[in-house]
Amino acid sequence: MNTHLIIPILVPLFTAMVLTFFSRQPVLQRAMSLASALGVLGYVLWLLFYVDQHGIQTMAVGGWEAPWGIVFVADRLAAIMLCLTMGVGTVAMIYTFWTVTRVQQQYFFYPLMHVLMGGVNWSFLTGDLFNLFVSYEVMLISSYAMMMAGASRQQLRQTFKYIVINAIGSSLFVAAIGLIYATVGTLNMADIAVQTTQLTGQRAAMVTAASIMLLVVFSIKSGAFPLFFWLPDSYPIVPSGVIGFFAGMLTKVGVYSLLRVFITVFQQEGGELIVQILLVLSGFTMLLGVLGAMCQWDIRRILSWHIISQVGYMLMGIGFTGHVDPLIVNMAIAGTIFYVAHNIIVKSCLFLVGGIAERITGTQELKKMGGLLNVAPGVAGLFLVAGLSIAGIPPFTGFAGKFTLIGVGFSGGYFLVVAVAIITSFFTLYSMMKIWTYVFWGKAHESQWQPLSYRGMMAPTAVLVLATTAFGVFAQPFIDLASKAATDVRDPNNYVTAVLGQGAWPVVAEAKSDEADAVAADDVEQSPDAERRAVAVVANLTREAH
Amino acid sequence: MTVSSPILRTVARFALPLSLVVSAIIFMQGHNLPGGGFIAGVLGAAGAAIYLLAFGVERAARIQWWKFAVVGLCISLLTGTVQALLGYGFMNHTIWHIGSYHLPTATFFDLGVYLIVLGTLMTIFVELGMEDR
Repeated sequence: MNTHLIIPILVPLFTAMVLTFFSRQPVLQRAMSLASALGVLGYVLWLLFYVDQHGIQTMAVGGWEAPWGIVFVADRLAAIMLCLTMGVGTVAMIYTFWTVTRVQQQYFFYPLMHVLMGGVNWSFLTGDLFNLFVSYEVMLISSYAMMMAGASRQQLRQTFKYIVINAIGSSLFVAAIGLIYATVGTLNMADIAVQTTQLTGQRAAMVTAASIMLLVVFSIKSGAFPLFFWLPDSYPIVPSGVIGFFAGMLTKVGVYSLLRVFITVFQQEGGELIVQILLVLSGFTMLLGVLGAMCQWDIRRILSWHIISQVGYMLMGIGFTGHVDPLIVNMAIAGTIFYVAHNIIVKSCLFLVGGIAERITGTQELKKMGGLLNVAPGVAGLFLVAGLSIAGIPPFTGFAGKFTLIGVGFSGGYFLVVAVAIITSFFTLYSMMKIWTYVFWGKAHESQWQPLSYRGMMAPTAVLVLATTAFGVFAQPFIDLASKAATDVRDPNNYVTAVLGQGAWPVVAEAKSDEADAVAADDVEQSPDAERRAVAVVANLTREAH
Repeated sequence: MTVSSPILRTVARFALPLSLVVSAIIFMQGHNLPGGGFIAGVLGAAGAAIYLLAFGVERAARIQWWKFAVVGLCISLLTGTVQALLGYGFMNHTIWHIGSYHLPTATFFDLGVYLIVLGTLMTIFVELGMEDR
């Protein structure tokens, strides 16, 4: 029993409640916010080391053991994501000390930020499918409220879109959970993994059907093709500063859910379909995302479109897990995890730099900016590192992440999607150069500029820039950690044993031999069929030749 | 300020205490029978809504209803946290026997839910009522 696993969820929620009573005392509110966030950050860092050394930790809520009760599970992947959430969350929060307006403060900005972080942490820790839904709702409701603060016409219009698409997603989520419960009889993730290994025929198909619904839900959340249209519209109205957290974390919750649910949890036969769909979607997501970014002239919109394009790389990594070679699958998952970590840091960083540029120039329009290189060379330096990192230039994290994923793609033989990834990379570089040219070069339109101090905002941004540089230069330990995390994700044995106890996972060797038998039997049955098909194809070809 | 009819005002005087009593009953029976904090909170807020329609929102607007929701959330979360701090594990639960009455831990959680629902709905009512002033 590890009651402490509840800390990353409870502490932010309690902080949020206490903070609501201090909305008139901004200094006290900020001090308490910061103390709470730093405390949780310290805890999750400790948790990462602890989990890395002592294996997966679990906690059963209310003493009801799994599979009956709700469990919270911290494996390496969850711990990595928790560290990123709290790290980026704390940095974004410090940044907002300079950007938050009185109206936002009055509409519970800091309490909502804590609820948001609590919800994100919750989604990473939970070991129960319905609980995942609840954590999504907690996250969404606080994000609605943050986007609405002030309620201008623009905010109402865009938030409405965001609410509608997410409400559709949530209803699909509940429907899918209902179907899964009806078929498998459990919602505990580890238990679903155990039950679905034994499923065949119609019931397996039923679970696959339900998991397609989940795929839609997670695609909406992560902004994957073709369900990304809400993202570039709604993100630009998120308050400056916290948009760094939105952009970095919220879509990655969807990616995390895809990894967790489709690789660790659903083990039924025919489940590979999802991964194959994801591989196809990933190519479109990457390319359309970056093409969308190229034709935008608003800095927030460009960066929002890039979120989509970057999510494509992660989906590609998940798509590679359809490969038969477990080594390649492992590398693919490790590459995806590393890429997610890289992207959370760099994406947040870019939005924070963009926020500084907006603050100096007082506009979001690229064409009205310009000349920042002379006015604020430090900001230019920060952007340069983040921009090069996201485009994949060594020695930053983007290079290590893309190199791993593309390497895996080549050895797995997925040449088409790898080609798309490389093209996308060039376009990303172009897009970053566009921002560089229009924001930092050129003539300054200083007459419209507002003399607001921006230096304080540079410190938190610099922390993220340093993080991406450090992770890029000393990538090896992080890649090692990611590949250890990947082993836990790919092979549910550890996860299931940690949650349900020793011997809960159906013996792997036996399952393998059964599978082999089944495949052999299929071959025998299908071979005459296959022969007939081959003969027909040859006959067709000869007819056409004549 | 109010333009309501005398019939509505007469009904509202009875409806408010009646709905509060019914909501209390529904709340207490919630452990074993249909009911509980959520539906009881809605009932209480509905009675208050009739009262607001009849007599205007000015008096209700003086109370900061959202604080009820925050306090409710606090009670609900503490229901889980107190045991965790005492070493029994998060959300661990028990039943106290007070004479013939059984008081489960869940009652406190439900009380929190009641306050959240009441606070949220009243905030919405008051905000909507104050909108045209």
